[in-house]
Amino acid sequence: MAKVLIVDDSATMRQQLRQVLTTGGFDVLEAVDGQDGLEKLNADKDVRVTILDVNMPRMNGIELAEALKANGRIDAGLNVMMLTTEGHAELIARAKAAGAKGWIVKPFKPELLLAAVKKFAA
Amino acid sequence: MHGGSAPSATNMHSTPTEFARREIETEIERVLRDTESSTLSLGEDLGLILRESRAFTDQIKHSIGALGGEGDKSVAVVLESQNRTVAEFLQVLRKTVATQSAIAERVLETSRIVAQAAQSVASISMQSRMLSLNTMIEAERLGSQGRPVMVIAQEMRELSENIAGSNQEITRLAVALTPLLDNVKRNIGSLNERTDEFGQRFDTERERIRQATTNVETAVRDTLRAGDERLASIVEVSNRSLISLQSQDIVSQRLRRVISLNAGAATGGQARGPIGSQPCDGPSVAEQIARGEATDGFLSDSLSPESATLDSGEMMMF
Repeated sequence: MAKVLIVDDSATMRQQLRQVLTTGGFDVLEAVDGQDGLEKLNADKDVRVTILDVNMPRMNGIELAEALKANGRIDAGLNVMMLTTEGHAELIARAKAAGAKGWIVKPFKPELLLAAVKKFAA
Repeated sequence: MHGGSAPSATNMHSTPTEFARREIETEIERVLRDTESSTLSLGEDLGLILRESRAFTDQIKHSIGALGGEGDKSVAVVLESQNRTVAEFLQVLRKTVATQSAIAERVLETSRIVAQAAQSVASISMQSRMLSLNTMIEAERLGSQGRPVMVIAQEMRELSENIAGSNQEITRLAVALTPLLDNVKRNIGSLNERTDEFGQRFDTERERIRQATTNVETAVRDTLRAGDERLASIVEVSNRSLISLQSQDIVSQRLRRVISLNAGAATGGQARGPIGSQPCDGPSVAEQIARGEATDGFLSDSLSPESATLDSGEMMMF
């Protein structure tokens, strides 16, 4: 059972992501912002996929992706997906440069998100 | 839900404009918390409905599905096994009855032959007695010279009388045996007829059972298909509901943006979003702003709205 870390400051989003991913057979972890996410990823090397919100307190999702790129975690096989209300090309390009594998604009379609996570977790 | 509250000491010393601004912030925060609480509750219920629906469908598949499927526990397999057992038993029974019927016929025939043989023996016995009587007359006539012949003739008569006695007993038994054997033969014939009747009824019932089994299998398949269709429908509706519930998060972000703009306007500066969600018992958004804890603004704040390339619900893979 592949581990997926959800990093989102919205309890609602975390709940819905957790339900979708749990139904899909994933072991789901949660973090409430970028900083929390970075700490949890540092503590657990088994996480295969992480889903990052962009606008979060303390550390936003793109900063987290850049930090994961810098510490070698993405190159070591962690798959990063961005899930946000933002859809600006500049932000997408920045996330892509950091090594993110996908960008999904909220509200997400459960079946599409699950298919994407399954692809990356395989 | 959060009820109204009396103005704080800070608000008591604020200007009317400042007081109104803070009241707006407080109300927005209440709306945020209440909607988040409601959305979480709805999301939880939605998840529960989905889990229960899946569990119910799985339960149907494992219980009814097993009966109507092709496994060892299916109705069709169990009944067919029973049919085979009964059919095999009927076959053995028919063979046994036929064998017994043939044996009874042979015994009856043998009994008739014995009776006929007994009649022949009776005739021979009668002739022997006549012969011994004639011999005794001749021996009498010879006097002392005929004594040895007289003894033999007497022995012959006694022997023929014994044979006649035994023959009578054999005849009596053969005669008595005949109706018994006829009865046995009739009973075996009756058993044979009953076996045939049962076989015909069994064949008819077996066809009815096969038809009923086919009906059960069809009903189970229909039920399982309907269950899958209903579950797919529930999943589809719940996915749509899930998308709708996500709007709460988007609305929350926009409301936080409003608070940020409001706070920025009050201080004469720029908006300072985004402000992250905080636990209900954490500092208020206004307090975060006042303490300068809110992080840098929305990442898209500094970007032109025209640069947006993805719309809601869209996905891009790199």
